[in-house]
Amino acid sequence: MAGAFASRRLQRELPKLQATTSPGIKLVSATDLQEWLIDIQVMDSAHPLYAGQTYRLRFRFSGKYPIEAPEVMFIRATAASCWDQKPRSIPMHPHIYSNGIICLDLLDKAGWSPVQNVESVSMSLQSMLAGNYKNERPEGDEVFVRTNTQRPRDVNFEFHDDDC
Amino acid sequence: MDDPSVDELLMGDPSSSVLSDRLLSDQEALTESRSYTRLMDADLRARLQLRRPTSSRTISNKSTENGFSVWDIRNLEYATEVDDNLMCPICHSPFVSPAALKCQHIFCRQCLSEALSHQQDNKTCPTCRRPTSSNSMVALPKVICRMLEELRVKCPLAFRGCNEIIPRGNVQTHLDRYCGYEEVLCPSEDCDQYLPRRLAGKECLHEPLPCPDCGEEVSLLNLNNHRMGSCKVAEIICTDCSSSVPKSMYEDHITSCMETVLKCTASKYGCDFTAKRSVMQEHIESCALVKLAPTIALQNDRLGEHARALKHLQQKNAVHEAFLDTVKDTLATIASADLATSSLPSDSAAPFDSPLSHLLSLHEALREEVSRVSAAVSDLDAKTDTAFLNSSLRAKEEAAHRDAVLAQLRVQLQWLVSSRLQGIHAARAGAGALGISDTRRNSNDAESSSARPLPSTRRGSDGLGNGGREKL
Repeated sequence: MAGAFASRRLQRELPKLQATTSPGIKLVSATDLQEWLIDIQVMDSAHPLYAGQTYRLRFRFSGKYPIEAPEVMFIRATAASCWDQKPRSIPMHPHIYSNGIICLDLLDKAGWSPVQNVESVSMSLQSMLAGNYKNERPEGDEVFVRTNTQRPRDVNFEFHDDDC
Repeated sequence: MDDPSVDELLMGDPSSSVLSDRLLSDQEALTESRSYTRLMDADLRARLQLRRPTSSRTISNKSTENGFSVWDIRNLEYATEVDDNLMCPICHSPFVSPAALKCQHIFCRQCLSEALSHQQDNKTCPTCRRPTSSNSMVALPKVICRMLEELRVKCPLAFRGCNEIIPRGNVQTHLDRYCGYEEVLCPSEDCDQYLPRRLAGKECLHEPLPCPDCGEEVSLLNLNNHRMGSCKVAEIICTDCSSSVPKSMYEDHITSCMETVLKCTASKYGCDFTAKRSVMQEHIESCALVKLAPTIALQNDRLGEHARALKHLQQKNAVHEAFLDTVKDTLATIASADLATSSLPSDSAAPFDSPLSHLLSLHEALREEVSRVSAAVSDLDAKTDTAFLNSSLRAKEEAAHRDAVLAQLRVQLQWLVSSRLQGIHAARAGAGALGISDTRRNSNDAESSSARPLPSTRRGSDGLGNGGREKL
């Protein structure tokens, strides 16, 4: 019964997320209890990098969620597959690799807490974008994107940044 | 009732919450049972029934085999909405045997120990991340636990049909004693099978009996299912003619029962005659609409075909109109840009296979050109703007500087004029008293003294100049 706990918890989160009133967070699909897609927007309409943009997050839950962190990354999507007919790209950010993998301590083994939930993680990522004005990728992005074959949760990031 | 010791005993065991809850509910049941003593004494059989499952339940494996419902307190469905403050932040369900940390954050004991065991070495509170340890869990005050146990839940056997809503702490008692849908041992001493409590009477329902219809041996418990399902002979009473029909014949009967009230076959074409099947044949022979029905149906089909064809043509027409519009637009663009087109790469248009695509490509090229030009214009605009701003800034600065100098000069001039006037006055007075020769000397004095106050005026003008620059 490895996933029973996770399923129960996700079943409780789902209706709340569907009825969420947090601006800029929209549940796109949750056809099962393993993979959810969520669109986030930065609500600052004057933001030089992210104003008017929508980004797509993919949450993947293991059977041990919420004890274990979900796997969260940005994904690309074609315009035709989106409700607003706009394509989704990977946001420019010094902690987001161009393949969508996010370097955020909150999503790491050590930084995760089972008190977090899908909505709170989405909100954290929203504010992580809103607070950034640097139009750049992390150091060594090209090499990492080319060579990384690990799943995001197995990558060992070093969090040397306070604002990471 | 000694809860803390029970808690200590069970701490660290993953199934502890369920067990402790069962213990708790058993204890509660004990007190409750006292009030039921009279009722139980009245029914000895019921008491007998109670004993059996309770004794076999002690070995959990056996109880699953035997069909006693094993339920998980975390799977219970709550009958009312539970206050968000009573929800464990980890499992998002109402607390189950809650435990608090030193930082006053509360979780289900099981959730918390699972979350802490997953952390590597420095254990922290999942909510506030303050350092803590697995040993620092404290049980909550009893009054809160009791309130949680009083939350109303649906019976875990609701899927079998039980509609009871009971306090959470009494679920086990309910299942063990009262739930009519829980399986209990057959009341017969010779039978070791189970049946739902609500069906348990005095006699055994498992004994095979011949079905009154087909003679097949069926237990009383399954007789109803058998007669409705697998029994080939059981009879069903027709609702129309109220005669009993063998089940196997029933399908045929309802399509031929003479008492069934039917609508005329032409009812969809407007005949509202209804009658029993026995009379219907007569009507059908005389009904004009029935005779017309095949023709009407044919006409309907044709109309449908025409409508479909029309729709298709309309779609086609719309496409053509859109196409025509595009062509018109392209022509208009080309006409308006008569000479400009010749300067465009019209040579490359040669390989196009139709004049239209040629025109379209020209149109596209023009559009590109226009967007390029507009980009260049806006670029230029921005450039001139900055240049203008730069030069005007410099000019402004210079003007301010000039202003300052002018002001300084004006002050000097004023002073000079006034000193000159003074000199003239003095000369006039001197001419009146001493004679004309002294007048020159006086005026010389006035001139030499004019060098003295100069520094002070310069200082004043400096201050003025500074003031003017600060304004910039």
